[in-house]
Amino acid sequence: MLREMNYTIHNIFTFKVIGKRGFFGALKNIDVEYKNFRTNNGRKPDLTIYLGNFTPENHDCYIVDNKYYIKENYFYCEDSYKVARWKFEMTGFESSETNSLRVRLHTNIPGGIIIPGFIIDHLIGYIMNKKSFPIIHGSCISQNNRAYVFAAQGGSGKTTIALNFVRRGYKLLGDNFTILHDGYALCFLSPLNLFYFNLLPMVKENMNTISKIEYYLKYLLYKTIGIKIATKVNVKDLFPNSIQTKSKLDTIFFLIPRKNFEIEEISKKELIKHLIANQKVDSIPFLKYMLEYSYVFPNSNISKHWIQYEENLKRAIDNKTLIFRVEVPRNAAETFNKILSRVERK
Amino acid sequence: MKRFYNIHDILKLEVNSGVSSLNDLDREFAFFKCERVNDPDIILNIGNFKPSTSDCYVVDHKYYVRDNYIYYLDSEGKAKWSVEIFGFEDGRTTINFYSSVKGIQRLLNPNFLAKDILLRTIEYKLGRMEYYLVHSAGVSRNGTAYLLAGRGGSLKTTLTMDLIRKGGFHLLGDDHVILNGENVLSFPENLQIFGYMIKNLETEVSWNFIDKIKFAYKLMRGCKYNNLKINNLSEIGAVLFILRKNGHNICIRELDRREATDRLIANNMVDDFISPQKLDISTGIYLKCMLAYSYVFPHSEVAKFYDSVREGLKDILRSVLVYEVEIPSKYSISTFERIKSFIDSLEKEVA
Repeated sequence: MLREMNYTIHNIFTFKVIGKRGFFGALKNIDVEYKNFRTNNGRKPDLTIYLGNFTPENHDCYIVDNKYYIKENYFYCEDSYKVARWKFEMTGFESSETNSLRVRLHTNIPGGIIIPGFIIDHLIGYIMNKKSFPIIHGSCISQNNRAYVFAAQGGSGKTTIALNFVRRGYKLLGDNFTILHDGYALCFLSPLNLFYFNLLPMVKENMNTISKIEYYLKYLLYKTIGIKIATKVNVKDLFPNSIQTKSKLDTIFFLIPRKNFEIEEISKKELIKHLIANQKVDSIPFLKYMLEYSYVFPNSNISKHWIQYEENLKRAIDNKTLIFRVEVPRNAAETFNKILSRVERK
Repeated sequence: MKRFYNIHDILKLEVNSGVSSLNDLDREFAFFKCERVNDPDIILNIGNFKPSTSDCYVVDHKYYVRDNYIYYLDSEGKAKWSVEIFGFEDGRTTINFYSSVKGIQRLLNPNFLAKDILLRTIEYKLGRMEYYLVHSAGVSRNGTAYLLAGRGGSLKTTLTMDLIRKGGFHLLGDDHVILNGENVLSFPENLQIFGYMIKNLETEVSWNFIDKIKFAYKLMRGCKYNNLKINNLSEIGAVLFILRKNGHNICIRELDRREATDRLIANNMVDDFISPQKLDISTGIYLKCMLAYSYVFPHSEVAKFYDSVREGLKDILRSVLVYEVEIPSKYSISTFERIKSFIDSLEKEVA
């Protein structure tokens, strides 16, 4: 029994996922991740993802590293990460028409869990960038239509900071990703990844019973056999009244964890360099695919992705935006108070 | 135990290890082995160590970065490693490295990750001195070098073997060579394997069980393979990019130089992800370190590294003939003959 799901990101980019129903299937995991983008209009998607086993059309391809099959506008490989395995075929990513991108994916159960973060996020990022809406790795909150972005790698407390702001009455635009365009921040609502170490009381209060049970079962699993699995909770369910779709970009904080709290103003140019490196560290398996394709086709759009990303960021962040580089200590409460005073000073 | 290597008097290495046997790493760099070096540029210490991560930036829970320093701990598949590099950006580089590998590789190649990281460090240090270590095979004849660049599995080693056996060429390197101005310097790795293959095997993939046993036996007896003709310095003649395709034709076309430069860069970068031992893991240890370091220090030499290599290679390739050679996925003697006659015709042109 096949099921078709449609998603749209601000009507800029639309994608369709077709796959089997099932509790452990990749479709379920993808839906949890992109639930907030669901739409009923399935006409003319930019990207179509078919889940399930398939026979690759990899004849007449360049074979690279005995593993990657590449020809013009075509990429296929079988790959793995720890216990996760997947077969991945992508076509139509070089065409100028936007609605020709097609992906076929077949995964095992662990593969289905990591596939959104390993592949689909980056596909979305790739196409959004093509449409000059660069996505950055960072959380975003706003008040009075002024957006404050906290760009960072994992482990720097960007979610904690954002949620603390929400508790004080600020609106949330994104906890992991934020879209930038033309001096504005656009929301990208992904689910919160909850572990035993980052469950805030305010999140716990708003969680529904099923999520709570799921969370405690996973906590038990961690305590007994040491496997760490995140509980995913939709922010829209947690804070239905604190969501904002679009706000004028006011300040971007770039966070790096270190010993003491320190803050300094940096140039836009420097920020953009940080942001690009940030994005590259994130996208390791996909970056590898891009490099392999660029090796065979050095003149392709894929090989120009990062140059285009830099250009797009330059345009998306206007020159009035305040930019700070913040060294944040482990103590999240201290960090939050200092950033709060900076935000509310004006 | 200390071991010393000297790469053409450009870069000097010292490798220290405690209890673990280092024969596999030693085999890789045997060509550059020497009695002693003073003032080494790279010191690699293998074994368990205690990192000094005080006052570091922490990136993604696992990279510890401060000025000229990185520490990183990770695991993947059957391998687990931690690496600490002092002098990551500048000055003398000291690497502390610990890895543990499960399974058969523990016996055969316990230090293959150390080799990866050492090779990348060599690439970085050489690159800073405008000597560019590129992922490419190289052969030479009459003082002119021909590079066969390709990703893994592009059959460049097989072609190199045949060019040496039947074409009268000398070896520069079967996986890497060093480019500097108009010169190509040799970088032969694991000569024992290459020597064995060239003597006993038809192609790089035709290892069977008996060959493996025979090779292991020869290794134990300390066979040296001194019969290989290696040329240390040649002038660059042409670069051929070998692409393997699941078709039947051989197709040669000239390549734009800018395209060729981009391709060499992509080739080097992506190579860090590929484990030659087919451990089913892709580590990318060094590239990940570079990315994490650039994330904290976007103006550092590390962050600019591949851009400066690109400029350097662009200059070098300016006066060089560059071609793309498409070959069928199944190797046959006709592939070799076609490429050999092509190089012969190039030789006339260069002369």
